[in-house]
Amino acid sequence: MFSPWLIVAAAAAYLGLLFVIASFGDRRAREGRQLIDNPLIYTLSMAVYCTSWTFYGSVGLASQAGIAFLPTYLGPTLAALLFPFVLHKILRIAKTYSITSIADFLAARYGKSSALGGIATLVAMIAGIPYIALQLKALSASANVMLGLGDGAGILPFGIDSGFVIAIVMAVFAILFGTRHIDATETHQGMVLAIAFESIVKLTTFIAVGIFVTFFLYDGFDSIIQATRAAGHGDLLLMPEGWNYFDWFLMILLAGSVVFVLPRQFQVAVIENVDERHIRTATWAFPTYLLLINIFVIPIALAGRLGGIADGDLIVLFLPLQAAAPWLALVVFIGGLSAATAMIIVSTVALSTMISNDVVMPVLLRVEALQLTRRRHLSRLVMTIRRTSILLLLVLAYIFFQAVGAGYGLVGIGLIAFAAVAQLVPALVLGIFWRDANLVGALAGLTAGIAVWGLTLIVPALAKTGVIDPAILMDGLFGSPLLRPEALFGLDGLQPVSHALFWSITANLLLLVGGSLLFQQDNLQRLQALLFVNIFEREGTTRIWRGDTRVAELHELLLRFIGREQAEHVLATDAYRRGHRLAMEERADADFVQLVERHVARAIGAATARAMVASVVRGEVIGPDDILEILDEASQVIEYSHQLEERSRALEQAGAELKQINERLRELDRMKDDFLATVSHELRTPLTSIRSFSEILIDNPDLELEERKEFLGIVVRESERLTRLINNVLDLSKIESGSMDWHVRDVDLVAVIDEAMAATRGLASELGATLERGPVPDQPALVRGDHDRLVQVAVNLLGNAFKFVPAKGGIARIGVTRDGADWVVGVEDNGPGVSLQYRDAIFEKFHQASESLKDRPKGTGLGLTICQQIVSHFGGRIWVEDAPLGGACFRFRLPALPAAQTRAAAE
Amino acid sequence: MIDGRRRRYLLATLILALLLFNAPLAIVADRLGEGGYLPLYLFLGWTLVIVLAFLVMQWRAKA
Repeated sequence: MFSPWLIVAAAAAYLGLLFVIASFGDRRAREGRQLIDNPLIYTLSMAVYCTSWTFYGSVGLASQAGIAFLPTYLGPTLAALLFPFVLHKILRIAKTYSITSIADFLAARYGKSSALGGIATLVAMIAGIPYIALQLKALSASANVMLGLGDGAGILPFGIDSGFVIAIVMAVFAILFGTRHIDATETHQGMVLAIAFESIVKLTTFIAVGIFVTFFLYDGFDSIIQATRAAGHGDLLLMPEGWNYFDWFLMILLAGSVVFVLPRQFQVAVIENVDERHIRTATWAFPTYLLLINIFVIPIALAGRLGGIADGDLIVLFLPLQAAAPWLALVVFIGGLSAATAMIIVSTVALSTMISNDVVMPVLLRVEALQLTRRRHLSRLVMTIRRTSILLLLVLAYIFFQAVGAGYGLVGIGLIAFAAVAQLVPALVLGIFWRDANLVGALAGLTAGIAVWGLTLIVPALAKTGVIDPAILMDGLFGSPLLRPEALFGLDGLQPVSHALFWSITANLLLLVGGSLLFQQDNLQRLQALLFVNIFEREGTTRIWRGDTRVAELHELLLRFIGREQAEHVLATDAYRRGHRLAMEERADADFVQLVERHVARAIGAATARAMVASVVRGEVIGPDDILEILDEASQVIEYSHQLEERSRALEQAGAELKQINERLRELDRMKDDFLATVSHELRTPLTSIRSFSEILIDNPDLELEERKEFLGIVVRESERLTRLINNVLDLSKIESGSMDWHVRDVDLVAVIDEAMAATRGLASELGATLERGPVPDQPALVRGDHDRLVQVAVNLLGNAFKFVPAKGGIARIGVTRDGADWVVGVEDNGPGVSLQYRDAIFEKFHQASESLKDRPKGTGLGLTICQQIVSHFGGRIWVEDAPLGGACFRFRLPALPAAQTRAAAE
Repeated sequence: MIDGRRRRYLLATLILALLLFNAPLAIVADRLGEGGYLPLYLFLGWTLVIVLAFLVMQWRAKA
């Protein structure tokens, strides 16, 4: 065993090292390099969650109730999966509105209510003092063991209690670490770095003792488990006796929810955060830390149980001592010290800020006799309040430890504290997601929740220790059996903490929701609710201010609360932002007033800061009513703006449509010009030929008969071409103008194609091409149409085909087939076909004259257009595709007449 | 901070974790074999949840 001085020296050296790390972190921060701007350091600082409760208490609980310790870590694992949803929002709100603590957050959300801030602080204190006492108990017990004072009350020389010495040392330590700056939102970079370091120390030391126990004292996990079963302790590996899965679920819920509201967690996860992106890593890294620090809890606990160690909370320390490994015991002691100091430092810093900002300062500022609102410097007063609060907290924790601590295990104390602080969860969570949650509901819920907590957990404890009459446990409050503290409304069979949690949170939620539904929010609450719930939509706050307050007056306020140096910093920040420095006699604008309020809030909390700024300003301050009115107006403007946007979009669309129509009209105009030009050209060409050859014949009466015949033949052919062209133009014109004389009747398409074949057979033999009859039905293929016009279409298509077939071996085929409710006539050839890009264009007038073919065949260029017009007139469609013969296949479809009519026609 | 897909996956992981850590699945593990497998089951489930959370939060979206 070591000399007591060595133990003291090791502890002192460790605490000294923490100071060095903290100073290093602070120095680097002053130099502009933030060491804590690292997601892993952020995560390690969040591991302040693991305190002596984890280090010593989990093993103690596991040695008695097996896995009962696990919900405390499974809950935060589930909560971590909600970090990007919940913590992210809390973080953004806290940074936007300079929130200094969980109490300040709630106060600000519910209309900057000092009352709610005060009650939340009291709840946090009620939970925090036992929790700090738990650390003192663990530190004191472990120190007593290491100093050889036994595990009872350790009395040092001169009759001094070791627990008291530890409390004082911790108070000094916390004051030095956490109250160097007045600005409570300013990150304590050195402190956070030290806390992260402590997280590494407690994890590595715990894993070290775990490895020692599991692999050196035993031959691995299996060996310990087998030994446990052999010793008849196999029940430690099952669901704990007396627990049911509802207890289990409630415990997970409890531990998961408090991660967001424990003052120390709020401090490290929200106030000390320097980059919200660190949450991404924390979402998986924080549960990883919890998993790692718990891996060896069960083996160590089982080994302690097998080793017959009576005090479960100290198994982790006794096992190395029993195994004659004092150095390992010293390492464990340092690990436990790190777990406790981290918690005490962060918790006391957080709680002292809450006490100062949400309880003491608001009260002092209201006491007229103190005339604090007129004092020149308040920063020292704020600092003194915080330091005194830290000392007071540790003294109260020490008293609690002496009075009550001995009767409870570490985990027992911790869980009672958890159940108390969990009462802040409904107001927090509903506050950031539900706009209607209001102050009446929050106050009623919190008060009811803490009252039920007191009835179900504290009253039984007091009754069992004889402080109050134990009869209340059987008779119930006011003699009502329904109000029995351990079986409220007859609900028994649950673990005390789950029973308390169930009823307290139920009462809390019911009153919060009920109060919010039954009572109206005042305008400031409505405004704050709007700003908090819609934090991601309404970046930045409303900057509305009308008044004649001078800069000097607000500067005076800054001097009083944050000191000259910080006040100068605020003015410099403002000057940088606006590009010039405000003169002291100038009138303060909205931005400057908000800046001042934000900085004062960092020192004394949102609620008090608002009151202080309001006490300075004169003239017309825009109150919440006006702000809401302006917000309403702004909403209307936004609404109009949306309407205008919609109209603008509609106009844009109409404009685009008009543009399209205009383009089309231009196109049609161009087509008309092209048409006229082409028609003129097409008319002039044959006319020129006719005229030329006629003149030759007139001028040369002596021409040979053969020449005469040849020239007259040309004149006749060109006249025919001219006639065809004129006929086509007239046909097209008639069709397009609607003046075509249609002779509509039932038409048999088989007859149509036979007639067309007869008409073009001569042309085919003239060209040496083959004209084939494709597939035709056995019955008439009846459609409604104009027989002659449909023959015209078929002839036109066949004529077209012959124009393109090769000089030798040309084939054209025409047939008619049934396709659903239509008859389809197909005319195919073995010519070059029509390339894809021209398949629509060829139906335009004179198209062939313009683009598609190099070797332009003879024709009017109107044939296909006329075909399309005729087919369309009878409700059909014409198109071109690749033909099985290799060339083009023109098809047109027309609606078939009903079958009965077809049969009748066939008969 | 995280896109819609990651949010959905993270919520799915949360639901999976809730199922893994509570009845009825935990009861099955508690009564497995001769009993005594509940701690192993919980630690394995815990590890799975952490791995999934890691994958959801850290995987890089394809450019």
